Amino acid sequence: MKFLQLISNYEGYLIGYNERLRERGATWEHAQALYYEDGFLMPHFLSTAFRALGHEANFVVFNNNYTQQIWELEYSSSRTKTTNEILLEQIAYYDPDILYVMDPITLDSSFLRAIKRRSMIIIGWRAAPIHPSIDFSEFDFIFSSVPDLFTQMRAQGAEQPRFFLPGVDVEFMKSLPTVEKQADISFSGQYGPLHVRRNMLLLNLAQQQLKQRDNFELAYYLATSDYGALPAGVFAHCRPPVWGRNMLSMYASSRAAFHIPIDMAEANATAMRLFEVGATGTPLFVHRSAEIQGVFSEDEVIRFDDANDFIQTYLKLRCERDALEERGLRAMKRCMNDHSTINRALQLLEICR
Amino acid sequence: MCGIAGIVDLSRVVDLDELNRFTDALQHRGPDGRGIWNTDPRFGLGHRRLSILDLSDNGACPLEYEAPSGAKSVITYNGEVYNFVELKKELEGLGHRFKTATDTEVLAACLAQWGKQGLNKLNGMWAFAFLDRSQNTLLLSRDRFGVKPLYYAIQNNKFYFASELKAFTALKGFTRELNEALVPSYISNSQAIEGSTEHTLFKDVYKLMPGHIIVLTANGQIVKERWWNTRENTRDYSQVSALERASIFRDLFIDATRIRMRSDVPVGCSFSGGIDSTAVASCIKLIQRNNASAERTYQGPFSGFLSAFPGDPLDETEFARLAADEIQLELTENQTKGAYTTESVLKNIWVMEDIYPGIAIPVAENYRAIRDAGIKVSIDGHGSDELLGGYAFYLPIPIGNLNNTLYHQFHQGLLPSILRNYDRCSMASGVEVRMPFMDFRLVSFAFSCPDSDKIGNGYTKSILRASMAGIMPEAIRTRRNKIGFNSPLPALFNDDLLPLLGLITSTSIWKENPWWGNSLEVGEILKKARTRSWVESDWPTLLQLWTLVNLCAWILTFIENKFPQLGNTR
Repeated sequence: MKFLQLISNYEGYLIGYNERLRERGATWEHAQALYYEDGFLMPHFLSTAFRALGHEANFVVFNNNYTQQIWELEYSSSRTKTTNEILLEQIAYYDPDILYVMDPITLDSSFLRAIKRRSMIIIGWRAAPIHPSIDFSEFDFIFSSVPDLFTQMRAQGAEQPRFFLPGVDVEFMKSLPTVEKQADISFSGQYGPLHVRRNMLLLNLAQQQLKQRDNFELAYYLATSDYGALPAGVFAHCRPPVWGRNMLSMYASSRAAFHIPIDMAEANATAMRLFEVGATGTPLFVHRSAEIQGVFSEDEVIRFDDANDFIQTYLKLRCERDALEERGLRAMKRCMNDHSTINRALQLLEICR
Repeated sequence: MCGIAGIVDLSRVVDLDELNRFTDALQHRGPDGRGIWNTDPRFGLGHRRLSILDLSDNGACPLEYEAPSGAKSVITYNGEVYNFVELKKELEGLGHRFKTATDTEVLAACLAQWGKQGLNKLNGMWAFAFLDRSQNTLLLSRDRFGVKPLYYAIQNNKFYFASELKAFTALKGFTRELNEALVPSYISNSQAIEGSTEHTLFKDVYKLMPGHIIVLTANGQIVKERWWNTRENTRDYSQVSALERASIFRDLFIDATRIRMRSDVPVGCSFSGGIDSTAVASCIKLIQRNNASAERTYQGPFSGFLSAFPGDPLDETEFARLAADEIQLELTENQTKGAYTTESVLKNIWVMEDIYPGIAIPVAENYRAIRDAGIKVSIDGHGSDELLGGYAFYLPIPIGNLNNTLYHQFHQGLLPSILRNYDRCSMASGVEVRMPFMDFRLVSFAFSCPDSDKIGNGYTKSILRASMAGIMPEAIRTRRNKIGFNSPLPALFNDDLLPLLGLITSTSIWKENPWWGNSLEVGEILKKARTRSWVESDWPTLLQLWTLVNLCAWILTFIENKFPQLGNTR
């Protein structure tokens, strides 16, 4: 079985990545190794899992022109192609049986129709809003951790939307160094109009900080399009965004973390961040209404009602350090045992069979 | 630091009896002496003295001054010009000769030398009236940010001015008329009034706005002018590193504190163990250690005074003790339990003479304790929350708008009402409050710094915290929580305030009020108090309720004169 994963990464991440790649030496082999080492999108990184299962597996970060040109230089006989032409040539070159598209919005059906050999299974992944103009008709499956999207997906041509979850690359997590605990409560993610609930919690936690007698440190690693529009209370704790390995190390260095999914997911909280935090062993706070069934049991997370309850609970547990850490360790064990990317790869094969 | 009053009657002769009454209505502001100047019968200047600098009779006010040119003047003055030592040297170089060791004389010389342009040379807080006797013009001025108060009225072709509103009730024929047009604004946000309008609760009595002057010319013309605008005194520091900005801030703050230590009487401080008062006290200790021989700098014992609320969420005793211990500050803890009798609350309303959504008894009692300890000057951390973004309600503001919001709060919003409260509560006990955070150099610099210097790097007041590293106790420098200096309203409404609530809500002022009518269930309010059911989460309701009680009590006190004894008690 040949597996090819098409990935798009945040531009903010790619700028730093490209700089480091230049320092290491701009070869396709280095580029692939560095992507993996960085661990960006680790919970979705199935190509490594497929390799571990004995399959031929590759991945392409199609929105990084720099590494795409490196591929072109090393693997293609012609030059000055467009981004899409390079990608189509890569698909032809790797000739996958399963094509797993992590960005079915940029690479929707109009792109897929341009693939010459169309005998492979094509899967898309989407857990965010979908513009009504997007056409999913060329996909065999659309995977998502947000079942609420299935109706819309079907209406836009996806015949078989399927519930699917990100996972944890166990070997990658084992490669992370041990770090000292620093901040009390950390968060990493987007701040913007799709995350009103999250934005509010970030602010309310900052307000709680001024109300509580006990000191605690908040650390928000935020990506946003306009830092000047951040509420002062959020800005106060804002740090530059971190990605992949750095983000995982950051979580590992926190005494607690929390997850508030995108508003559209409503109560469904089974997103990538759940696994990233869980895998670090850092105690994870989730809202009382968040649905995490099938991912964690109640004794593997800590529930909260609002910012006040969050902080009161945290401060109480901080005094009982073992009780706090136990939650995190249980979640980590669960991630490693039940939510590995190898398990996810096996589930994917089962769906495709 | 004192109380000033004056009457100008250009067409006749000032009524001396009236001037005496007007001046002595401010006795609480100046218990150490009094003075009247009426050499020119058209001008009557009054003064109540709180002696701080040059305790001899030489320091008495009103003070006559003759410039090297022979020009004569007289000044009545409330405040402190902290840089008078440096100004005096400059003026001596220009030929001025001084008979006293006061800042008053330096101020008079400064005005004689440079006229109103001289105001820009002053670093301090003040309200004064300066009569240029050669021109027969009277210059009234208020400091840049309105730390010191000044009110005026024009009635029957006479011009009156005084440090406090209540003094006007001593005037012959003064009509105690409520400025009804202002009441709805007070009810909706009483803290927004002080800095945003020159109108007062007395119809036809006005305040001179901060950073403004009035010139009363010989022919009776009145010219009002703004002489200070903070915005025009800011610079762009965005190219300067955050580290360097913190260093500039530190230097300015230490110097602002240093010049505020100039005193011939004992100095202390209000101390809560919060970042502001601890920063001030730490700097004072630093200056006392390193600058022992500085001219006129107070070198005696220095103590802090804390308002303690044992068992209440407002209590900061643990922080104050920790900080005081580390900086070796002698700490006096004052409890106000039992201080909220109906009489004392009404007295506090008389002292405050305005509407405020809180009861300032802890503030007033703390200054009373300071004075009872023989201390006349308190160097405090007021102004920092508005200058540097210390309150939780600044947190939702987009960071890009923070500086503008703070600028408004500092100049027109919250701060002016807080400055008024601190002036009234301290002066009621004859204590002068000095505030390093209100130094105009520091204020201009702070508003020149980016928003992130206010709320950033994980903290509120981030530039202050960065600048105080190594100077103040680390546990306080990195203390994040913010406990306001207020009365424990829920506890008070459940207990001490019940008689006052009963009294106020039974009056016709409350019952027949045209503003909120019968929209409040008085029975429910009293029942909740009797059953001790007010809780911490009722704070917003209680603040609003107190504002209404305060308003009615103000009307009873100042319009209806129901409690004439209040002015005679301390």
